Amino acid sequence: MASTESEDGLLRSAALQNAASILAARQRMERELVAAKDELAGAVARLRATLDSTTDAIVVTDGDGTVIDYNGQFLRLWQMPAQLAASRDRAGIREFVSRQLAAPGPFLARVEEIQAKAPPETFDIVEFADGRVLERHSRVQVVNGATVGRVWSYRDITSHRLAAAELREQREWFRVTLASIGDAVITTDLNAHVTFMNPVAEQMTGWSNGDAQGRALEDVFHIVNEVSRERVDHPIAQALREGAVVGLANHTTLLSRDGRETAIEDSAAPIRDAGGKVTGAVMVFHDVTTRRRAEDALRDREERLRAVVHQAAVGIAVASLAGQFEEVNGKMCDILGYSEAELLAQGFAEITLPEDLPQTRANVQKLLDGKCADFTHEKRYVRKDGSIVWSRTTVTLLKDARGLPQRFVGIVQDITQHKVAEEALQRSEAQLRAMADSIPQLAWMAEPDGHIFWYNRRWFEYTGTTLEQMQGWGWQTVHDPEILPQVIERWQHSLRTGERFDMEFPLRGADGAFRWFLTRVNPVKDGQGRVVRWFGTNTDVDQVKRAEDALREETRVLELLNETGAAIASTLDLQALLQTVTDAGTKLSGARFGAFFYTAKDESGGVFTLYTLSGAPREAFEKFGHPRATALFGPTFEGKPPVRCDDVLKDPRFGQNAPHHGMPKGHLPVRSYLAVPVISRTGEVLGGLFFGHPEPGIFNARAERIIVGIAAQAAIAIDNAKLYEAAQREIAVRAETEQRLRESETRLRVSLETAALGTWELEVEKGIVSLDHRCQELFGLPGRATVSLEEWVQIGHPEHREARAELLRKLSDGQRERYDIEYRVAGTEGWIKASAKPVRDAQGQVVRVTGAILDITDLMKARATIEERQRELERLVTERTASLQQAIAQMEEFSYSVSHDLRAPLRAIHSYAETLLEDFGEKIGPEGGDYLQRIMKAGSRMDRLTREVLTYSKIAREHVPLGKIDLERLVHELVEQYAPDHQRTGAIVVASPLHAVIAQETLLAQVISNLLANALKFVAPGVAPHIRIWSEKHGDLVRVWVEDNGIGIEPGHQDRIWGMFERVHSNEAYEGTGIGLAIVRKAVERMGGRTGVESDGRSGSKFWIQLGAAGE
Amino acid sequence: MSFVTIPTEPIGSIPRPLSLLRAIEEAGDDAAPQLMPLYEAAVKDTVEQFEATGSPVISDGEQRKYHNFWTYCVHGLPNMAPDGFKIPFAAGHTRRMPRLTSAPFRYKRYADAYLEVAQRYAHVPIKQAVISPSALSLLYPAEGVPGYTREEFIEDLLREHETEVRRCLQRGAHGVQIDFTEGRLAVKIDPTGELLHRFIDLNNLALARFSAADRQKIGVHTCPGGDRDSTHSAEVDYADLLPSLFQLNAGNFFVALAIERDRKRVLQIIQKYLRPEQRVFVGVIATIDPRVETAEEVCERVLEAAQYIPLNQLGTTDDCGYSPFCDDTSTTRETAFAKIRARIEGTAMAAKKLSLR
Repeated sequence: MASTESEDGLLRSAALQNAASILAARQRMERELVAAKDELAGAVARLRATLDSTTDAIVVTDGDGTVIDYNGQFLRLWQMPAQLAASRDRAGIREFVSRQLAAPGPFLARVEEIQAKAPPETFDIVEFADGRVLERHSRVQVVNGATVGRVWSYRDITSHRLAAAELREQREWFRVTLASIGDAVITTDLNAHVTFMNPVAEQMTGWSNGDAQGRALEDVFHIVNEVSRERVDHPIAQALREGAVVGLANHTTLLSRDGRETAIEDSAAPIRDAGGKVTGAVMVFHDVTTRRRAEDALRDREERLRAVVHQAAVGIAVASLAGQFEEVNGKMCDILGYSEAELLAQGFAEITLPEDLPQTRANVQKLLDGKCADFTHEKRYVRKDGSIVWSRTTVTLLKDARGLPQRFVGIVQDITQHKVAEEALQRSEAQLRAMADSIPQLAWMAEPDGHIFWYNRRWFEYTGTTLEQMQGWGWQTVHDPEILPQVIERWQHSLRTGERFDMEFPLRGADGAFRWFLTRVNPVKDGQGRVVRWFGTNTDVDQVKRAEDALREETRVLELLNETGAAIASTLDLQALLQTVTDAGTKLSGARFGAFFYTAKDESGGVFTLYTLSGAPREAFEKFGHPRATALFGPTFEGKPPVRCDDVLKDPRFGQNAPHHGMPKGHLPVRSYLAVPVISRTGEVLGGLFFGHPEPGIFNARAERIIVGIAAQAAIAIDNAKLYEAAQREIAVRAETEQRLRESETRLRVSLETAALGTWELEVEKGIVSLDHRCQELFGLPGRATVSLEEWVQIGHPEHREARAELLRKLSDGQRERYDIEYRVAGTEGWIKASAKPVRDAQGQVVRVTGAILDITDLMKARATIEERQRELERLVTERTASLQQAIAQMEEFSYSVSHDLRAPLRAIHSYAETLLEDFGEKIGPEGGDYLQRIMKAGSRMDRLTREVLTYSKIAREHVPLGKIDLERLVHELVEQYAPDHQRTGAIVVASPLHAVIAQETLLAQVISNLLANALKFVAPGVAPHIRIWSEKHGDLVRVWVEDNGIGIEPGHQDRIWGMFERVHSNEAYEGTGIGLAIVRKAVERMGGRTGVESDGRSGSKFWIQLGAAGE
Repeated sequence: MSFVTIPTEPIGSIPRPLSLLRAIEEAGDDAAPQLMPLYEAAVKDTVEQFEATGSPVISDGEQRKYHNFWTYCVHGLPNMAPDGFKIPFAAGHTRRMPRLTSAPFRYKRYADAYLEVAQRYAHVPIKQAVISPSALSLLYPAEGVPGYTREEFIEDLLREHETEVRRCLQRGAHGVQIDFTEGRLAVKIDPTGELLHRFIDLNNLALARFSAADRQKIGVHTCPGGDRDSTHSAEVDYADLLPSLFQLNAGNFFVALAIERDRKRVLQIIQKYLRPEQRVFVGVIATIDPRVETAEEVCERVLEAAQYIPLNQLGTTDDCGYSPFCDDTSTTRETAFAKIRARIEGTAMAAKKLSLR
């Protein structure tokens, strides 16, 4: 970087170099300027010379109107002195000019106006006082785009003006002449260019004279042949060519400029000058439109009339008043099979079928009498070939101007086909009705507006109604009033839209009972798709419907039985158990109220009674006491078979006992009665289940079977509960015994510490045992202070005697230093705890043995009691376990047999339906086939339901050993197994790693696969499922999520979905049994976990299960 | 009594909004596309504020003249190197010009583009300032450009300048003002006055390309060269400059006067050399003085000038642009518009007084 000084220097240097260059540029420009000035001077001189040599006078004024330039001719024309022109003296020049003019005022005014307004160009005429006439022309002067002044030029036109005036006069004369004639006139020059048009020609061609002048004649005068529409040459060309008059071709139409057409006629002639030379041509023409139009119209009308008659699609004939044909058209000949000539030789009477002649004659007479203007009737003609043709014939009378009849005109329409079709229709409808009468369905027909006008016989047979009652909308009386509004709404919809009607609803039979019918109504449409009739059938589907209802009902019962079984099996509280059984029995049997009377013995052998009620408050029974062993109640308490009455009031066993002889006052009203004994496995009658209903005939055999099943379950449960109670009691006893033992030991300890022990001493040498007072007392040897060794040994119970003797010997021999022993005292229940030690002399020789004894009889007794109790308890536990296992096995067997027994008939239904469809499908027809499909579908669904219920009940009961489960592996296996496609396409994403959980593998697999199946299933139509599985660990819990993009679950439904048979969507929309999620919840609960779902009801669901976390 | 009207016009530049300057700084490129809406907003705001002062004639505030008033037309050309001549300013800082590195010399942009934007928002006439050919002549380095003679450069320079002025006139500029701030610099560089004369020659060569009517719409602005409130040639005496300045064949002259120490002397020189077809707009606002003049002060200055200059040849203006270089933040927009308002009001006040006289 250069220093500042050197930079400044550089700048200076550069600037000065620039300066030199700029100077050079300036000098160059100055030179160019000088050259340009010279050139300009030359150009100005040339311009001046040019101006001076022109014949026009030219003067230039500046913006203020001051003369600034002029040429020599200007001075000459105005005879103006050059000094004045050059003086710039505006006033002087004006004054000079004014003197020479005929009318100076207007001239000056015009000049002022032009100066003020500065129009781009002006033209006017200036008249001098001496008679000269000048054309004046002026233009603004523009220099470099700016207006700087004006250039004026003057030209002497005096002689032109005189000639023009004369010509103008002549022309006017011609114009007036031509304008006043009625014909159109066009003149042209030799080139056939228009030179003149008179007003008539202007009007006809649409061209004004001014516009037309100078144009080629064919542009203005456009003529075509009125028929061929081809262009026609104008006659002027010919006139010019031939120099002679030429007429216009006929049928020529002139097309005007605005599209009007005029029929014209006329001629052209050449125009010759004074010397006879052709200088142009004239054409004269006039409008013939009106005349031609009248001619055309007349011709046209005739033609049309003829065409109408001859081409008519109906036969037309004109006949004399005597009936003789005078004119016939082609169609008439076709209809009758005669030629025109043959027909004209006959009258209508000859060709009319004789049977129809009288009617024809009568009508003709009416016509002739003036009673009608015309008549139309259907009649038959005999064709030439002898065949009969049906016709619709209309006859009119033609009258003359005075109103007198002249002849007949007949219009004949062949309606043979229509007649044949009508007859065929009548036949076919009769057949249809006959057929409809013979089918087993109810059938009927209605007008397009729904008005029923016909029913088949079966309808009337079934409903017991008459056509009068049923017609129109009378059918509503045989409908169930509750369902009728829906039926009407659907039927109205079909009537509005023309869509087929398809619905199941009950119809009342003649016997007053409703049966279910599948009603189908099909529209009969015409060629245009309009409904012309409705044909409806009602097919009796009552059996199917009832079978479906029965299946549903059985499912419900099964479910309740399961619930009841599960509930009572898990209840050990007797009162609660009885209540559960009572509630379930009331619900399942359909009773209004129920009771369970339970009789049992307490420990002391006393009898006591418990009872539970359902469907009625306790007060309703409290005052009546326990039911007595009456004829009605007795058998139940005796364990006899169930008692079931449709109406107790009519039962002979009822009302035989004093004091009430029937139900006591205030007793709940009972008509239907069902009582079942509850009998334990040992055959003991535990009590009875009693159900009642104020209506008669409520309890059927099925209800009885169900209650018997419940009673069996109840008996097992009561046994269990009793066992449990017994065990509880034993546990209480044991606790008490232990307590006593503890107290006894305490006492022993106290006596050991405080009471004097019994002591004895053996003198080894002498073999004598000295006893103290306590010993004597304990061993029952009062007063004997010494006993022999032998006697001492005998004191012990034989079973302990040997051992005791051995110990004594060893102590005496010095082999042992001490012994402790417990032994029984011979001949008593007493027990002794004894200990002894040797006493040695100075040489170490054992000289004596001393011992102490303690009475432990109480202690030993207590021990024995405990052992006994323990054994008893073990026995009870074993017994109870066996009993529970048996109960569970029975429960399972019950569930299995219910499901199995239910499935067997289902399989039969399914296979018979299948066989029926295969073997008799054709006979049954599509509708029958449809019903069979429905039966099979319902059966399959029932089967699936039953299996799932089984699964559920198994999960609810099975032992669930829990262990660590590798969730990651399990989920991958399941996904691979159940949805390999989805896994491949990435529809299922498993966010690894998944945390290990505490669970049971089979159950967990069932849970995950149920959730996966739901996620794949419940997606909106056309949406590809997308599922994401992940887990979260919170402390010692793991939550596993299954998220989908499905249809979601409304928050209001989210609790409901976990129940059995709960479905949010119809079976049509999504196939399923409604047990899957119930299984999920039950299984997870069995594994000690919880379940849940999150969804906004629109965009998918997030199901979760929560289980214990397995340590890593 | 006759009504006296004294025309008043700004010189050109108004400080750009700080937000715009910050955005330019962030973008690192004053032509970055994301800045375009900000430029547009700045022009709109400038026009609105200008109009709010009651100015009869306004400018676009040169909000979009990238870089500065001197080199905007060549800024960004590939044949320009940044290491051209250094223009020294009185406060000790310098501005470096670009250097032409290769033929040919062409403008990258013409000022009528700025005019077009301002016209979208303006309701009063807009003048457009352009740089003088003499200022741009300093782009050509002392050592020359290989294959491109100084004469060829001068010819290209004149043509480009002519094009720019014509485009502005065609677009409807109220007037075109040629910024000739290097006049005093020329005297400083070359006290013999030779360089100044050549600068005037060069500008006259350019002006000669226009008709007399066009020249009535063309003005020349001279000042000591305001930048960051200092000047590069304030020490040069107007006496050396003004006689030559009025030799320029322009119709209008915008002469800084408010900062002159001896205004009377300068006015006397103007009185002596101003030609009849020329109008002089004297500076009545000292743009480098942060203080806002009062309307009365302005009025006094106008009345003072009116003692020397015929009223039909007198106009008022600001001494200089408020921010000839885009990064000049020494004057705020508020101050600028307050000063402009003082000019407008003071000039009107003076016109009223002169009418009553």
